[in-house]
Amino acid sequence: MKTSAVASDTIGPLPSTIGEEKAVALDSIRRAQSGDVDAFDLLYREHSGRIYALCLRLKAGDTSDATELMQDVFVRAWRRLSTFRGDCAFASWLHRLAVNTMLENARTDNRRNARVLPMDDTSRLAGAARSSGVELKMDMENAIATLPKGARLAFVLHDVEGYQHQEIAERLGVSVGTVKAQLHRARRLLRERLER
Amino acid sequence: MMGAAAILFVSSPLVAQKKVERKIPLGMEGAVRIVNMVGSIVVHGWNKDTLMVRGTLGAGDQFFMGGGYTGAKMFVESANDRDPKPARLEVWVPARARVWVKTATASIDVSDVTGGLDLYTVSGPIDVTGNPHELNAEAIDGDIHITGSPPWVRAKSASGTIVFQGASSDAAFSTVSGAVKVDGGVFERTKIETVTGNINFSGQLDRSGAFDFDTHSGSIDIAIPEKTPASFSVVTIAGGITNNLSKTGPIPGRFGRGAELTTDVSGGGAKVSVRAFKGQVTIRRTK
Amino acid sequence: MTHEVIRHLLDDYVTGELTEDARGPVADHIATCEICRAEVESINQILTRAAELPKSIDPPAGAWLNIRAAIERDKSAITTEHAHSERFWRRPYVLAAAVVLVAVLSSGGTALYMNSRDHDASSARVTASNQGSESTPASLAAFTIQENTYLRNVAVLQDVLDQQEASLAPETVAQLKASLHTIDEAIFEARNALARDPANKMLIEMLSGTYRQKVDLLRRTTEMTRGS
Repeated sequence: MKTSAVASDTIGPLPSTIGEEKAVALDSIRRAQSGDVDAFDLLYREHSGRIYALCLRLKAGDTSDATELMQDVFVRAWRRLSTFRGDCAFASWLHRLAVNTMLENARTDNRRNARVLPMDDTSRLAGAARSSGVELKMDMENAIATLPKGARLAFVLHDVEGYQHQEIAERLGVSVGTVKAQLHRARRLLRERLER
Repeated sequence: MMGAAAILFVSSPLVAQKKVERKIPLGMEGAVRIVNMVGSIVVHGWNKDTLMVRGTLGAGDQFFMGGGYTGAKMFVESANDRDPKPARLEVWVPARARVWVKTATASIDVSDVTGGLDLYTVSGPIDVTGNPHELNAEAIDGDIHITGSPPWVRAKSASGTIVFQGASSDAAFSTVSGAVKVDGGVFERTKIETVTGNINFSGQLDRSGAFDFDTHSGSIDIAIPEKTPASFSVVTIAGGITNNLSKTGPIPGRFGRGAELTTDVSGGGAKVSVRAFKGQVTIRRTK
Repeated sequence: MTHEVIRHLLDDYVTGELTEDARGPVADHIATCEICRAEVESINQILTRAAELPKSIDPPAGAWLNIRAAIERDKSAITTEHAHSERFWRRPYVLAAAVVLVAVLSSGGTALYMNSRDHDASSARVTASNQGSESTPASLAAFTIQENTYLRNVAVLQDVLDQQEASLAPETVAQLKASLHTIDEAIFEARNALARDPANKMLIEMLSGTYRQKVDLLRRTTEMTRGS
C-alpha cells in the first residue's frame, strides 16, 4: 500500500502486501471481534468444514443434528470472540468450543429428557437416523455412526481428532480409565463391524 | 479482554482539583481501557512496555486504575453523575497496544498508536493522528478527524463531520447529516454513506479496488487523478450527474427522472459505484 | 506377563502409551503370538482408516445464513461488547417489549412513514421470519419481510433508548432525534418512490441501506449510553 499523505515507518503490515495466511487470519479475527460480520464470514468459511466434520461424527451422522450443533458453535464463537486471545490457534479454540457446546447441549437435553425417556446408551442405526443429504464416504463413517455414544465420543475425539486421554476425560467428566475403556470398546466394535 | 495477574484498584483521596500520576508495566501489545466522561483524553503511543497517566481531576472525582501486564483499565468516577466536572487525562501507552476509549463529551486525541483503536464518544470530537493497524471511531454528535493511514478504519457519526486525510485499504465512513471529506492517498476498499451529508472524496483508487458511495440527498463529489483506471456506475433516482471525466453523458433515469451513468476511464479498473436518491453527483479530475 | 494380560495392553502398545518397562515384554510376546499379532494389525488398520477420514466436510449451504441471522439478532438486541459477562437481564425486557411493540410502533418518526398508503400491503406480513441479514433483498416481497424485521428492531431499540434518555445531555437528545427524523424523512421519500416503481432494485437497495443506518444509529446510541 502506497501512502502519499503521511510518511511514517510504523505502518502496520497489510494482508495484501504480506500474503501470509496467518496475518489474514488474525486480521479477520480482530475485525470480527470488533463486530464485523463479514470478517466472521471469512472465518466461518475457513473453519466450518473442520467443525462440521467433527459435529457430524459426534452426532452419529445425523446431518440435521450436526448442522444445528455447528450453528450453535459458531454463534457461541461469535459471542465469545473477545475471550480469544491468540495464545493458541484459532482452529483449536473453535474446536474445543465445539466439543464443549456439544456436551453442554447434551446435558441440557438429558435433563429435559430425564423424566420422559429412560437414559440408555443404545447406538443409533446409521441408515435410519441420518437425514438425507450428505453422502458419508466409506464404511468407516457408517461404522463410527453405529457406535454407542460413549465409545463414539472417545473414538472421534482420540483417534480422529487427536485429543489426549486426559483432555477427553476432563471434558467428558469421566476418569482416564473410562476413556481408555471406551476407546478399546470402540476399536473392537469397529473391527467387528468393518470386517463383516 | 484482560488476563490480569494482579488487579489493583487504587483510589485517590478526595482533594479539589487533584493531580493524578500513575505508572504500571504493560506488555507491548497489551490492552488499555480508558473511561472519562467529561473533559479531555489524550493518548500517545510510545516505545516502552509501560502505561503512564498524568491528569487533573475535577473536584470530587475519583480515579481508578488497575490491571496486569496483559491489560489495564482506568476510569474517572464523578462525585455527581448529573453534573460531572471535566477531568483531563494524558496517557502514554505502548505503541502496539490495543486502546479502547469511551466518553460522553470529552475530546479524544490519539497519536502514534500503531496497535488497535476503539474510540467511542457521544458528542466529543475525536482526533487521530498516525497509523493504527485498526481504527474504529464512533460518535453521535461529535466530529471525527483522522490524519494518517490506518489500513482498516471505520468511522461513524450521526451529525458530526468526518474528515479523513491519509490512505487506507479498507475504509468505511458513515454519517446521517454530517459531511464526509476524504482527501488523501491510495484507497483499496472504501464505503462512504450518508443520508443528507455531503460527500467529498479526493484520492487515488487502487485499480483492483471497490468503492461505494451512497447518499439519500447529500451531494457527492469524487475527484481522481489523471490516468486513473476506473469503472463508474452512477445512479440517481431524482438527482443529476455531472461527468467531467469522460465524454459519456448520463442517460435519463426511469420515468424521465434522475439519471444513470456507466463509464470507463483510462481503460477501466477500480469499480466505483455511486447511488444517490436525489443528491447531485459530480465526478471529475483532481485539480 | 501372560498372554491374557498382554491382550489388554495391545491398544496402548499400538498408540505408544505403554511404559518403557512394559514395551519390551509385550513386543517380545507379539513376535511369537499370532493372535496378538493379528490384533495389533487390525488395531493399526482402524487407526489408519481413522486418520484417512476427511478432515473437513462441507456443511449444508444454508447454515451460514442461519448463523448470520442469529448474529444479527444479537447485534440489534442490546448486548454488551461481545457479552463476556452476559448481561442478559436486559433480554427478557427487550423481548417482551418487542412483542408489545410490534403492533404499536410508538415513535413519531416511524408513524410518519407508517401513514403512507403503502403500509397495508406489508402489515399482513407481520409474522416475518428473521431474515434480517445484510444482504440486499432480491425482490420487493423479500424486502417487505426484511422491512418488518427492521421495524421490529427499531421499535425495540427506540424503547430502550427512551429509558436511557435521562442519561444523555438534552442537546444530544435533540440532535439524536433530529438525526432519526432525517433518516425517517429519507425513508418516507424512498418508500413513496418505491410505491410508484416497485420493480426498481436500486430503490430497494437504497431503502434497505437507509433502514440499516437507522437500526445502526439506534444500536450504537443505546450501547454508548449504557453504563460504562
